[in-house]
Amino acid sequence: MEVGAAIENVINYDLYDYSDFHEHQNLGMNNHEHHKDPSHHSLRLLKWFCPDHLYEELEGDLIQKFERDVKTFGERKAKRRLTWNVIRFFRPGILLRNKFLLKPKYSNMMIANLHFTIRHLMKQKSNAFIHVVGLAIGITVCLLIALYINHQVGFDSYHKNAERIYRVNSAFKEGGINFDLYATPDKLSQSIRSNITGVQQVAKARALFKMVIEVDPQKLFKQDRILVVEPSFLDVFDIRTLKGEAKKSLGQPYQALLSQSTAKKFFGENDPIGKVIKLKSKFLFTVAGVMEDPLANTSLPAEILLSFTDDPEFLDNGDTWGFGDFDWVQLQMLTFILIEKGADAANIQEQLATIAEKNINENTNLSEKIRASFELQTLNEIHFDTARFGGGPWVSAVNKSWLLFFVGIGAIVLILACVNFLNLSTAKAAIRAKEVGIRKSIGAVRSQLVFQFLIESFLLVSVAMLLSLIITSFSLKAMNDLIGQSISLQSILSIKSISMIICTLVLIVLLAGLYPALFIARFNPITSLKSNLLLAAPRAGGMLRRSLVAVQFFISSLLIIAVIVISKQVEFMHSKNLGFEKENIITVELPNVRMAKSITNEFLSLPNVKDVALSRSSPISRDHWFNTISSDSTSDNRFSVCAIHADEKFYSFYGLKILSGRVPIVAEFIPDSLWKKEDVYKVVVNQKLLKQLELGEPHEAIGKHFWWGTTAEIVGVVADFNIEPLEYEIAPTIITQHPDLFSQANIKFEKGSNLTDGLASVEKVWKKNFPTEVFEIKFLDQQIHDFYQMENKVYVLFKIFAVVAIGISCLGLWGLVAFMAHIRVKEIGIRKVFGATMKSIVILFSKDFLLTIGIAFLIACPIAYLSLEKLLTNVAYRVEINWDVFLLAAAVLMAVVILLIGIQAIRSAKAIPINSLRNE
Amino acid sequence: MPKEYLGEFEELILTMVAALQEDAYGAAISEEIETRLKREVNLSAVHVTLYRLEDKGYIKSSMGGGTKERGGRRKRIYTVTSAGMAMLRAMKESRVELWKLVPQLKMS
Repeated sequence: MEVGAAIENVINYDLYDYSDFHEHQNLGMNNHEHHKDPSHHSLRLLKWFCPDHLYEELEGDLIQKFERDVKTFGERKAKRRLTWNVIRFFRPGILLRNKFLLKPKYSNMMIANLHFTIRHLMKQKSNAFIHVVGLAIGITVCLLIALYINHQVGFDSYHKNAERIYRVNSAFKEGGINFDLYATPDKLSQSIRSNITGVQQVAKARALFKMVIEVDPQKLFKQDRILVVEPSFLDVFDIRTLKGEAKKSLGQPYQALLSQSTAKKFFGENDPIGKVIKLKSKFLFTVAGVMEDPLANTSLPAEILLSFTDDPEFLDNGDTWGFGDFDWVQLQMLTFILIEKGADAANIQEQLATIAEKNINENTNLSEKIRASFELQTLNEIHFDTARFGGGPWVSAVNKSWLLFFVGIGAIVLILACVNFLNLSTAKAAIRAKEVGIRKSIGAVRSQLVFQFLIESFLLVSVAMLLSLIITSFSLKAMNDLIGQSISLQSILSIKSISMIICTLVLIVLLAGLYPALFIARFNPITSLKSNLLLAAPRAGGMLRRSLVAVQFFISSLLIIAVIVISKQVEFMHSKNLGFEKENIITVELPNVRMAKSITNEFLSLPNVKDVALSRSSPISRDHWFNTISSDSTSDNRFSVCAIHADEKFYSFYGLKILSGRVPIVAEFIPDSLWKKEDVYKVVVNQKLLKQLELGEPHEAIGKHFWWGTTAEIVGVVADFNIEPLEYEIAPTIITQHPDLFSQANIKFEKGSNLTDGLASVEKVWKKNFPTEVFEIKFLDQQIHDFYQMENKVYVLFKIFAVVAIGISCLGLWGLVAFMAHIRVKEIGIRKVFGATMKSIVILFSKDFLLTIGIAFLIACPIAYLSLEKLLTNVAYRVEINWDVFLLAAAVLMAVVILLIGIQAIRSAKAIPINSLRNE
Repeated sequence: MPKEYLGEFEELILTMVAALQEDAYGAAISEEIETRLKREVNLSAVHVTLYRLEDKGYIKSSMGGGTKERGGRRKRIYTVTSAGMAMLRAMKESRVELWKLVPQLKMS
């Protein structure tokens, strides 16, 4: 900027000067000096590309020419000609006279430096190895983490209108309880279309889960990820169709678009277009097109798109949220809007609030206590929205703090690797002291030396970077398998990430190389040549090095403690007594609840089956139904409870402890059609619910009533058991009979019986009863294990990263101790000659390091304790952090450190002194 | 003469440098060509050719004085070297030689 302005000034000044002169010359003549200023912009252009040594004459010639042109062609044309003439100078004959290349002297020096570096590294192979490998591992971890985060943050960003796409969410309030859902009423999209301004497109979609699709009678598939959509869905989202006319066909009923892989799964290599598939064993859809497979980073990975039909039965999937019995409070649709360019989302949200007010809150059928509104959510927020039951129907949302956690781990690992680099380089400085002395005395200036050492670092870091790219490409698949993602290395190849990598490279070079370079280049040539700096130099940076080692082992201690505590927590979650039996139990779905009773008897007659119970869900599950209750119908103090529907055998089947009262029997169940106002629901409740309603001890509660939409009577009290994964407290729970909802058979096998036979016979019975359905079995203990999938994955990743981080620290320590042993070899020789014992030498060696690491560990303990306590406060069922954790951590740390130091110490202590003292 | 070969434009420029003597610089050469030969030449072409001739060693240059006419900028004055002079002469002679071979149109 400044330079440009200066040039402009000069040119302006000169030109002014010159026209000034002209004015004098043409004194008295018609003066047009204010036009005289040739368009200096073109001259500035010339200055930019023209070689400096040619500039002056060219400019002079151009001005002279301009002057002549003014006379012959007149002012304006002359200016144009000047510009044109300047542009014509932009040709190789002129441009190539610029001196682009470094001066040869300079590049010679670079080559020499490179030589020195390589020679030096070859001389100290193990040292260089530690440098490079430590850094490479550190960078690899960072790269993997960066890829992961890039993948997560980039969710859904590939749609070209991504920043204008919003999902409409429902927010219902009942009493003090919030229900935030991404499901919206069916009528919302139509209402938005006709009432809201600023919206370009509206698309409603209905997610259907686990549906049986019949391709032909022999080929049944249980298909998930089905989306019923309006044609406008394709205007909002970018979905590429490979065959067929997608938009047209989605406008007609009973049409289907399949993803490429689904089409292949259904029809193999045959052309799928025009084929018919049968859903729910009665609805026939024609395949109208094939679309691209959904990308890995989308919240709506639909494999099948269906057009809307007007048959409500087709859409009924048993997952509608109802807050009352009119259309506007039956939530099941996903609603997406594409707002107009420049439209204000806040304004649209206000208009949505009006819709909610008019259609829901003012509806007299709705209880006064329920208030509804609609909220907008941008597409890129969806993946991180853990509040509304996760990111979408099929992709669960990711907690942003996990990402931060990983960023932290990456930074720690990188810093540890850089510290290693720094440490070893400064330690090594002693060896280079003589080199520096000689270089300085033959005239090297400090900046040259700094530059040389920086080049050295740069070379090492570049090699490490390359190595880490290779390691990353190999380990990416393992990581994908571990976290169940499909991240590709391709995302590394974008300009953005390559420039990021280069930035990191420079950053690491500066972080790890600058201090050693400055440090080494500072040596005084006389002292470094005269005295034996091998002994003096290490002390110079000794304090710094020691504190860096302390920092490394402080972090390592934190990580060790964290790994121990988290592994205990994971262990605890898997082994905790949940309050019910879970061994040898499988569950199967019953597609037709009317056949539940008969099929139960068939199951019971199988030889290996011990017991069968019917229910809507397992005792522990992520999809329990929640309702609100209060002590009586008038009370405002409502709270949410979990409702489990199960038959009378369920209790003994799962070993639930009945504390008082009895279990409701089937005969007590009153179907909705026969329901009379004075009827009461007979229910079993858990202890939590008693406490919440303040109904006293279990035996006192029997026969008491509370309000659950209708009056409910407590006939029994069951001991608390975990109904949800262990990060949640046990919620107040109601268990009641409801044969219409018994869609799951729980089957228990005899202990020690042949499981394969048992499963086969169960399948046979099931298949006989439901020939058109797909048989699926779930083991209860496996289901429980799967609740903690995310935790398990994060735990495994954390363990790997922690081990890597600790490994890097150890690598650095190893290098440092080896170096110490190397430079103190003469000292040890002399000590041995004077009668030092092996023990005293080992102590001499380890004392400093052990002390440093010990202090680091002691500082780490309270910090680890406090931060882990904080981490675990939100977990309902957690382990306590006791002193044994710290003892174990200390033992692990000391074992590793003593092993590292001990090997080196013993090796040097055993050396025969004559070997080290002989050569000078 | 050497195998060096001059292009038509190069030859023209070299001749102009020789002819203009003390006043041989880019703008003057192009003006001179324009007025004498009625041939429109581009300034940049003249300069590039001058540099090329200098690279080949047929002319040498030094910075001359600046005139007010050109905003005080100095000129680069070119002079023909002896190699350049020899080249010119050789080219002229070869032209004359060749010209002799052309059958002259005779009035019968």
